[in-house]
Amino acid sequence: MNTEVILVWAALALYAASTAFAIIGMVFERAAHTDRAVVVAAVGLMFQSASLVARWVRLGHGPYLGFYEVASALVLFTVGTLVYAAWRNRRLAVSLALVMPIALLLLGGSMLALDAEVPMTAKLSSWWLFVHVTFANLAFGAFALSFGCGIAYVARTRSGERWAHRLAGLPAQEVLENITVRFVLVGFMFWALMIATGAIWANEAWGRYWGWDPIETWSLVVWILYAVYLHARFTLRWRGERLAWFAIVAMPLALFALIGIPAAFNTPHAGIGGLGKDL
Amino acid sequence: MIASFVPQGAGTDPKVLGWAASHPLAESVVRPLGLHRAFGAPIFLGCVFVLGLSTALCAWRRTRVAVEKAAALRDARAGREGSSAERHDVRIPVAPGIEDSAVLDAAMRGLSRAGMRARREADRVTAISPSWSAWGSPVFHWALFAVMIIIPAGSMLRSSGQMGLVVGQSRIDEPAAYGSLVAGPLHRWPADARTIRLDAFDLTYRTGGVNRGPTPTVTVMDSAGDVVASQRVYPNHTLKSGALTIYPADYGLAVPVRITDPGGRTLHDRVQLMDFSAQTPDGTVPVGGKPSVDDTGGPMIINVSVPLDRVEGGLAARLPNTPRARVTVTREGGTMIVDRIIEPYGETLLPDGSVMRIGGIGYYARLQLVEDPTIPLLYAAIVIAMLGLGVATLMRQHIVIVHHDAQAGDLVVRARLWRNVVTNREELVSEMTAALEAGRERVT
Repeated sequence: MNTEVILVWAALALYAASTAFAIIGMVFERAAHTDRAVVVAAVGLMFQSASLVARWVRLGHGPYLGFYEVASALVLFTVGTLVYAAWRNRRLAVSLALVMPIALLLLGGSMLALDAEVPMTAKLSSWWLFVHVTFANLAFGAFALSFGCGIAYVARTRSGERWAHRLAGLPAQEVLENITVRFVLVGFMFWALMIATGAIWANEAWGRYWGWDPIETWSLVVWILYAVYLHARFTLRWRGERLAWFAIVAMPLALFALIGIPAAFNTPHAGIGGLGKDL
Repeated sequence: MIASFVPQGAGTDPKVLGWAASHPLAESVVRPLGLHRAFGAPIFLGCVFVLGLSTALCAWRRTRVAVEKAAALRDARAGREGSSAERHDVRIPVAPGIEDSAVLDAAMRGLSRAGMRARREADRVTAISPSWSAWGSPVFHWALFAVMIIIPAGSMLRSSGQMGLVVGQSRIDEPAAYGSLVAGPLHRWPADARTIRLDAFDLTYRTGGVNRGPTPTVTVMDSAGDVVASQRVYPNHTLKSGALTIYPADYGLAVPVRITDPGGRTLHDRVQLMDFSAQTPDGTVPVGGKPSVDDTGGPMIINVSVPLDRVEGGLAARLPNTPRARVTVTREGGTMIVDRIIEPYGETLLPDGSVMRIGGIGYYARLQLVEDPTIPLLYAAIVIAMLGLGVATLMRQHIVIVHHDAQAGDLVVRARLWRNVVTNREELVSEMTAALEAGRERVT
């Protein structure tokens, strides 16, 4: 087993441990376990980063190509955002119990395709790829946290006293909602940057900035969906559970746009073709 | 969303026909609804138009709000708190005996714990956003509206087409030089026509550790024949000249074909281009039609192809070491009358006595030429939109002013929390109260 594989397995094990600590900490109301979950997730993050760096050095390109690399990068940014948020606001550490299971499943699923290596092609060989994909990963990390905060909000609203007590470590509902909105707003900004850089790159590479191919279409759909969320919040003054449900439902669509669409369609962004003429 | 799962294109498009054949039930719904051309359908364009109008309306509303907020922020920073701020006063009791400066220090700590960056002034503590923080949202919305205007304007001014060139050949950049061309109704061809020349063609070109594939070297010249731009053109390395951008689209084979009648008069003299085609027996298909000559039996349709080796791979991989041309001549009804192989620079006699000569078999480059003068405007609008969105997302908008009313023994908090704040008034009060209590304990 090479170093890269050992590192990613170690990361997976650490994420599993972090998930366990986070769930135990939440269910049995043990703050120390929740704190350990954050530390263990941070260590797992270092291992996963090292694994991806090793793969980058070996293959000569970053984690952009193929299901394993794309999903693994999404997990990296999600866990990174989660750890950073918990470090900045200790009260958000409880959300690890809600978001780490998703990261764990996604990384575990991606490792089924660990051996598949997609070479860099001339079409993708551009610094725009790095910029475009980085914004996509940053956006998803923020959306994943908004998802976790939304679940926490709904759980506290609908649950009995016992669960409300378990989630008491989180900020007050109004503050939690503000935090959820903030994560959606940050994700919305990064998603917009992903679309914008993708359009500029497509024009520079292929001569058209928009072609309505499925990935472009679904990226726009997700962006408009989150725009509706933000307008519902700021203009229509939506509050409470329905806003939280919106954040919960929207994130899986973002994941579908990033992973499901490339799996379902033979693209990224097919190039231009056509016929010439005899001279 | 639905249209993304349905192939887009004209009814005769092969991928549309193929999908229709394999999904007959779905096609019975998709075709009447026009979902194969969904993104150009009137109902879709109507929705986009409504979206544009609502974006403009939203931008206008956000502008009015931003004007008020920016004024309030400027007034607050200058110490000109408006009377409306007093409605938000909260008073926190302060235990007696604590010095004024200690009270304000506690307020600073409380605001900091609530996630606010506070500033200590002589007699107060403030956390006031800069006035420009209010402009992020309107700037974003107006720039987005501008993008929605520029895109259709660009489609009216834009031309996009493909031109085939063999090495050494040049063509004037005009509609007749294109094989396929889509030009908007407002597109104007330059009065001083430029010339596009293919200087070289490398079947493989490696740079930066990546094989860039078939790479033409293209030169753009002005009407005086001076070189304006010249470079290799490969993916992500396009040639730009003003509003014109040249991309590599594809490549194929090229064979000069000349037909002369028995008297020596030239009947046909062109370079026949051929594209790779996995569907044809020879592996190549002519581009732009086949030459035709008439004899007493009627028109003879001449097809020139280059048979490829029957191996795996694309055009270059399957091209024989010594490629030869295959000439077939058919009548209009399809009756084959000639089927021969000709060596490069060889000739063959046609049934009517005319002679067909071919030249050397080489490559041609198919270039995609796009001229769109609105691209810099579009890029500028996108950049401005992203800057506006960044400000709207990252900048907090709040006014928090805290001063110590020593006479009443209260800490007076005036808070207007507008956007992107991760706290609320209750939390602010709670943090400052806790900080005051901690300060009192230190004193005692």
